[in-house]
Amino acid sequence: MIKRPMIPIVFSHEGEAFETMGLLDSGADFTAFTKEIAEVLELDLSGPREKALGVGGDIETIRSKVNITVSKAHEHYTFLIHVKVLLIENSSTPPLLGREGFFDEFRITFEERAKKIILKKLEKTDRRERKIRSSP
Amino acid sequence: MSDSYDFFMQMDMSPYIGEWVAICDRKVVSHSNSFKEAYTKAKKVCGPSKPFIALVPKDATMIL
Repeated sequence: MIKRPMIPIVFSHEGEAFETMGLLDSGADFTAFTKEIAEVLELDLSGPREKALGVGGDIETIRSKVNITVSKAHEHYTFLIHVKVLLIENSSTPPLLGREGFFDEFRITFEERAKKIILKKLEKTDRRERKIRSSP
Repeated sequence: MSDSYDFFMQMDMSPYIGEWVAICDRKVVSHSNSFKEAYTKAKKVCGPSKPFIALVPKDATMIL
């Protein structure tokens, strides 16, 4: 079986919550998941539709927000994350954890040979420093 | 992260390749091609505990 960089996460919104596996996707600008997941979480899908570019072509999306929890042993991090809901009927896409909102919250190390991923939560000051460094 | 996650990682999930699998209390309680269907069935069985629902990946190469 092909091993993919997936981590356990919890999505929650207004009383609905489930644990799932999210795919760490450094090529994704945003965190995204399918309409089915958004409907289960009862997210507001009344916002304007926007086009997003995928490998398979343009996809319609709607912006929303959801709570995400990342846990390991005694460490738990919950934060509100902006997501793009993918308006596709195909349900066989795992939640994608993208750069804005997720990768900028952690220092993420992929140890491909060891099949290991290390996430270290960044402090607010680290995030501020990174933004200053990356600004033109 | 949770017992259900450990169960998912340890058990042979090959009968469910390509499907969403819902786990509660170290048991597969539902599976479906539809996330919503797997979640809805799991909610009825799991009670107040949070279901674990994950897509069992296909071996096919994924390009995103």
